Amino acid sequence: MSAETVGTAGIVLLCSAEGTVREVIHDSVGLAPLVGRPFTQIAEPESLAKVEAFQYALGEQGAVLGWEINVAIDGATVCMALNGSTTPDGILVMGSAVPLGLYDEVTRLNNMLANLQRKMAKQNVAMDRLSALKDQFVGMAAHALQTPNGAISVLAEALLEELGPTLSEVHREYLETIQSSAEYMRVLAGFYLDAATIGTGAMRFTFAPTDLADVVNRSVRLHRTVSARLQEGLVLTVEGAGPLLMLDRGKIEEALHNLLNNAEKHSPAGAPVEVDLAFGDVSVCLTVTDHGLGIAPEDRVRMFQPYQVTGASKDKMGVGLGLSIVRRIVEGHGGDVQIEETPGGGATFIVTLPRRVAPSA
Amino acid sequence: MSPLHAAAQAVLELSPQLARAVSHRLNVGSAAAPRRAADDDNAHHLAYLAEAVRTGDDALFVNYAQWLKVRYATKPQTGRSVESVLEALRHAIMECAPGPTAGATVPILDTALAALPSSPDTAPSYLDPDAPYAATARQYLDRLLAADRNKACDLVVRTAGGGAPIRDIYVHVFQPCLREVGRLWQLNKISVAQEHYCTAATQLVMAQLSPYVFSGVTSDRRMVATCVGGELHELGIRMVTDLMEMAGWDTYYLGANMNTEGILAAIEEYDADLLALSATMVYHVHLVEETIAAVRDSERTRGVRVMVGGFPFLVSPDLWRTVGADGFAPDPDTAIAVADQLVPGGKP
Repeated sequence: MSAETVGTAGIVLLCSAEGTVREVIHDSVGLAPLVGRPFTQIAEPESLAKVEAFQYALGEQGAVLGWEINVAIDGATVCMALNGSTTPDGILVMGSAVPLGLYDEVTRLNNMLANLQRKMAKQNVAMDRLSALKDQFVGMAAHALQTPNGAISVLAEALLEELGPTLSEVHREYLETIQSSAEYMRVLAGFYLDAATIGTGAMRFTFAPTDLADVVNRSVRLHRTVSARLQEGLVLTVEGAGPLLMLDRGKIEEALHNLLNNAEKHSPAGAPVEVDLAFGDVSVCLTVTDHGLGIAPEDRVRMFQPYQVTGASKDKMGVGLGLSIVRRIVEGHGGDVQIEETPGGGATFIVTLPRRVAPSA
Repeated sequence: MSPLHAAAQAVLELSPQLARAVSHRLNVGSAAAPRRAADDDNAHHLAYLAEAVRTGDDALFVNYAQWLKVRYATKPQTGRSVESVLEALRHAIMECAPGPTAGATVPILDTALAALPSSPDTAPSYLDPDAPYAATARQYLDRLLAADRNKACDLVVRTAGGGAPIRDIYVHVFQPCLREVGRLWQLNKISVAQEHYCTAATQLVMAQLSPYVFSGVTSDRRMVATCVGGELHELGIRMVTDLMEMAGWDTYYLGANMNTEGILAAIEEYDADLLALSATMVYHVHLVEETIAAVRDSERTRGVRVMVGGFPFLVSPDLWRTVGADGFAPDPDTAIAVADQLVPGGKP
């Protein structure tokens, strides 16, 4: 039976009242010779009981419609919808092939998808494990680098102090470059260590009653002193007074530090960066606003994933970990962080933390 | 030729004569058509009987007699019972082939007759209300038959989330429900479209359970599993494969569309210790045999052990040896035990 005839192929059999085939009126499926035999013999052995039940129902009801029976034709199985009716001198049995091919093909497709899904699920689990191992390795490597790096930094500083006056200008610059590079490496190693911690989900929080306004104030002041570019351009506004909140002070400082670094990095010379802190009834909102190039909406979610560097910061030093650390810290406090466009251009980072008031002593 | 083989051959050779004698005893009458139909039926019974004699496995015929009982129950108009047919067979054989043939066949007929009173005259539901997770299985099937795959999925995911072992969900929910779907089709209660829907939905649900199946822990025992012949009935072997994975095997399921070369390549690629092959249709058994022969023939895969399963191997308990397998498992639990036997403690 070719695909073109599926759905139209069928049989019409005229039978005696007992079901013996008298005449094959129509056969476009290719039945074995059937005249003189019970029409039930068209069924596959597994369908015998069903076709006999069909015959019984036909005797009881006079007409039955749409019984699906598996018919054996040349060693293959064709599913037929059988209809039957009693006539004054016998019974008429008509069957049309059910286009099983399509069902079968859909099931095969579904099987293939299910198998691919199984393969993928297995690979995903294996990849997750590899990724955790990778994080562990990164963490160990970053940690191991800190000791020799510290030695380089301290010794370069000692040399500068002790030999500085006796050195030529060029050699002093060499030593200063060694020292600043070591400092930069220390920051990078810190980032990698944090990132590894994020990946393994092992970042631990210690919550204690914390004056958030004080934390923000100190961070902003510290940033003004270390940032040659920002200084008075860093503007802090605190709205309302806050109670002591249950926070991990060190982590919040780190998050804020990363946000301020990020804002500074993306600010054109002379442009201000605004930090606002507002205490609401159920949450606390901290925003850091810059007036740089901004972040395209399609990049905003991606920014919080590790090792993401946008076009705007590709030429600046960085590995794209700071914001992923911010997110992990904020989420660890039960809050969230989002990016919006600063009116007039730039990016505004909005950190929302739940207002978890410390129990009064 | 062994006495059993000789008796089986005698039954087959005498089949036309025996069939006529049985028809006569059953008062079929002399009208050509009903007579011919009855003779055909009787020859069919005798073929099963000969197979049971040849293999020395009474169960092959007892099972058939029980199926016949259900079948006759659907056509009370004949006034014939399976008991009367077996009695007639017994008489015909005693008359036409006394001696060793009767000696080998009559006890089997007697065993079948003795088993009939306690066997049901309708095909019983696969959903046993006393089985573990019976209520879940019932609900799952009802939801599938109502074409509500989301609720069916929720039910199973919640059951797994509540701590039910995946093995129990596979064995006590999916397996009986899918068998029941086949039975309901036989009873004309559902359509072939619904059967396909139930299969597809169950695959979706199984996909939701994959976090429970894969732990990511690597194992030094690896199994490649596949179905032969573009087989549609893949769920059984996939369940076995998942449960083997959970039992500490590293498993790879290839699907049913993999040709022999693809299977050999996968065994080599994954460095498999075990190949699990499944067939559901009796007419696919030769493909199992050909695949095993190819595995043994190839230098790359010769060392792999082969376990088979599926309906034909359940019906014929020695078939696994005939096709050249190293072992056979009738169910997932046995599959794990057999696999552990075939590949005891990982690679040497």
